Amino acid sequence: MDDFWLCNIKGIGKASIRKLIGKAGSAEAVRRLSDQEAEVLLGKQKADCLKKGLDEKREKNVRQAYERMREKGIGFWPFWGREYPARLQKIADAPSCLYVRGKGWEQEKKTVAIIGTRECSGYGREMAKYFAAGLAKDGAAVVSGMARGVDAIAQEAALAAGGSCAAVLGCGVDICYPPENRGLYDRLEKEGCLFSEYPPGTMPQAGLFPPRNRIISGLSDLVLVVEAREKSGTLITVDMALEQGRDVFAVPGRVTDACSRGCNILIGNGAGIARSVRQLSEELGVGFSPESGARQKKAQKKEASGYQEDGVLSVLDCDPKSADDILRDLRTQNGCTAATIEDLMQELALLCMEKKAYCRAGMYFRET
Amino acid sequence: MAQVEVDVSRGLPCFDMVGLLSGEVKEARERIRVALRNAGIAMPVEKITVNISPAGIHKVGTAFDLPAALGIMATMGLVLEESLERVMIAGELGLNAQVKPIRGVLPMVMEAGRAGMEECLVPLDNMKEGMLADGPTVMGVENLSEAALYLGSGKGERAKQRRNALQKAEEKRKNGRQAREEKGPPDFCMIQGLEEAKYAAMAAAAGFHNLLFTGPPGAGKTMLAKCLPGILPPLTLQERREVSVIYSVAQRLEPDRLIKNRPFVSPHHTASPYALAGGGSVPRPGMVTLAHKGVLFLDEIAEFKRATLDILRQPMEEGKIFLAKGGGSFVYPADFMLVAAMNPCPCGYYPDRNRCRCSAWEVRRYLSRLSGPLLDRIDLFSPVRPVPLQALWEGEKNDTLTSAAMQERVLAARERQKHRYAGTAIQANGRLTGREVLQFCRLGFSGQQFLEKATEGGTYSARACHRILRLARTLADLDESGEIADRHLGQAVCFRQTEILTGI
Repeated sequence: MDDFWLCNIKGIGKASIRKLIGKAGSAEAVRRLSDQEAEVLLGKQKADCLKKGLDEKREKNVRQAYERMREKGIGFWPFWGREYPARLQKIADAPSCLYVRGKGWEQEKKTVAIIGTRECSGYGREMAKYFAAGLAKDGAAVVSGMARGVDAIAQEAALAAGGSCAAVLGCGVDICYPPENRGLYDRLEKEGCLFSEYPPGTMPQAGLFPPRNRIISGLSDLVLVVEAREKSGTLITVDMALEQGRDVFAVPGRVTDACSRGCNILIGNGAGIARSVRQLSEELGVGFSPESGARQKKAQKKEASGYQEDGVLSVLDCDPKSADDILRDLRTQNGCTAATIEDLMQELALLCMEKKAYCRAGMYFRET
Repeated sequence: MAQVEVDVSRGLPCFDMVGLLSGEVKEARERIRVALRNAGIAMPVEKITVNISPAGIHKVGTAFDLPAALGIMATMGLVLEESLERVMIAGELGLNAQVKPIRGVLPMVMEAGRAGMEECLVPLDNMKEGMLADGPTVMGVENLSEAALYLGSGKGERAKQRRNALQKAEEKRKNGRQAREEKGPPDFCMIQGLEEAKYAAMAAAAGFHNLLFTGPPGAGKTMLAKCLPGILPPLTLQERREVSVIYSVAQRLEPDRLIKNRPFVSPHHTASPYALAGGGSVPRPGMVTLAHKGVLFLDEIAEFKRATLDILRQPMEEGKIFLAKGGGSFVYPADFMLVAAMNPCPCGYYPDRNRCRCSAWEVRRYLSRLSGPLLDRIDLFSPVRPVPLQALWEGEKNDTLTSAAMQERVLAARERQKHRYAGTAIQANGRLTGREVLQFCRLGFSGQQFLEKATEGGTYSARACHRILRLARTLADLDESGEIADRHLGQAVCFRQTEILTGI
């Protein structure tokens, strides 16, 4: 309760809280500080704020807010507490407290942040799934921002793979933003973890989102950028990650893809190239499971033999293609000049039924 | 059939018209008064009453001028009353006693024939249109005195006058505005690539299925739709008459011939519900009726107002539209094939992420502008992707599909359907109802297994299955196969999974 009170005094910011805790040792001790001590430590203005915070009426309000929060099952982790993530504690402007919802956070687990653009391409979607599921299976925790696009896809894949997963929100932890990620939010509450440095009930505002990016990178050992445009919010996170001394990896893309331009620039500037789950697992130092090893071997074998399957599957990849594109490729690349649209459509229906290929918005693709 | 009665009796001189008349019909009084005077006939200085019966039905239009004027002349003895027996008269009068063209002559003459009339007296400009009805003899008159003269003549004389009138009508047409040559629809061979979309168009034409094209701007959606009437089976004589009647009422019929090409109606997306359904207290045919037996093309369908689109539900279900208006309730035919085109998202380029930055939510919201019930009535979804420039330059070698070749296959498929549905009211596969689907679209054992496997994902409702079967039936017909084989089912499922909302 005292911790909560200290973190919610008007006019007392992160730096002041650090100073106070540094001097007094605990929030309870801060209450007992004399006016003079406070003034020496914080200056006159802030000391007045602290004094006002001790006002009975205000304290009552804070108490009520605290009880409401407990009722909602929201945890409160001050940065001097034991539960506070150790990695985050070390960054320069670590939040003074975290509001937490969900199963909890495993301190010792290696953590990867998977981030990317909101409007991702089919390739971005597949890559986000591939890395998130693979790394989660290998035992790494996945952190992201629950934004539309890459963030949400990666988190969903990590949860589906049975891994641990956390989201850092730019609003209060009791608010689901964006609303269409409700399903993911509910799942994270049950099986993962939701963080925010803003008190419960804070509505999403544009200004609140960039600062939460430092928490995403701060929580993680490694930051993986799946897709980013040239001028993208994702690159803010990368800047912060570099300041915090985190490793940054980017998934390379084609030169012509606007969504991959940011990644390619990052690679040009010295970011690591994310080639496979195995490579990143090694980088993170998580033991890759025999299962993923076998998968890897299979994939490599597949690559070496240039896709075993003949026909339609051979011209499909993770980049979505229309039936006409596929037909054109069959004729020009595979020499099936007699291929007809009728046969192709039947084939595509079969492949989709067998889950060898997928259809989205009238375009076909296969998973990596 | 309306009857115009005229009575002249003693009393204060006045001229009254009764019988639930709208403004333009009542104004006939002034037109008739002046026209009679200018024709050198003095109106009787007595109380004149004109009643148009049945008096309970709202009457509109200017066709009552001529019969009322001739009725007054009959009371004066200028026209013999017996000569008006079994004659249908319609026409608008000018102040100089000229008879001007009116709308809807073709259905009038047809109705006159059914009501047992022997002769029809219509404006000269509408004479040839009236003759298309192939019913009672039609005479066209240019002015009031000609009409009186004709009615006063014997049988032989009348025939001679008719011949003269026909000649005059033809001359008048020649000197006047030339009839526009009806231009046929463009040919499918002008479109390169897009084989999936062409196949969809062919299936739609063969089974009279409703069709939706989605794709980015400039991919060729509108062009595909415009080509579509060219592969539909030609109109039969019966259908041509049906359609011509509608166009006559809408005053859009070329005067001397029946409609030959299937209608292609493409209202702009700002169209109001009334424009589509038919507006006015006695409604003029709306777009859905003008598209009868043809194609109703809604370009940018997502930009239409929801209220406008919901008008389509009844006609798509029943092939006609019921309108309850001030002038009574009306049933108009509206058996059209809906072809719609839309962009996949507000900016138009989804899923090309190099150009489109619409969020998934925006895309979904854009697509949900089409209501579920409307989507339910669309059997075919065809994505249209732009053909890469490279392929355009090279010209695709397999691209020999002309409209004529496609129409041939469509006709063969239609022939099969005609044979199958002989003795029933069903016109085409696309018009099968749920129960009929089960009756006519039987599957073999392997077909059933295939469909079960396809529906295992649980994404298909019973209704969706019916649509797959209906479409598979058409695809089998196109393939000249008596049974629905797996390949047809597969293709139908493939058309189904491209449904716009899948996986967004």
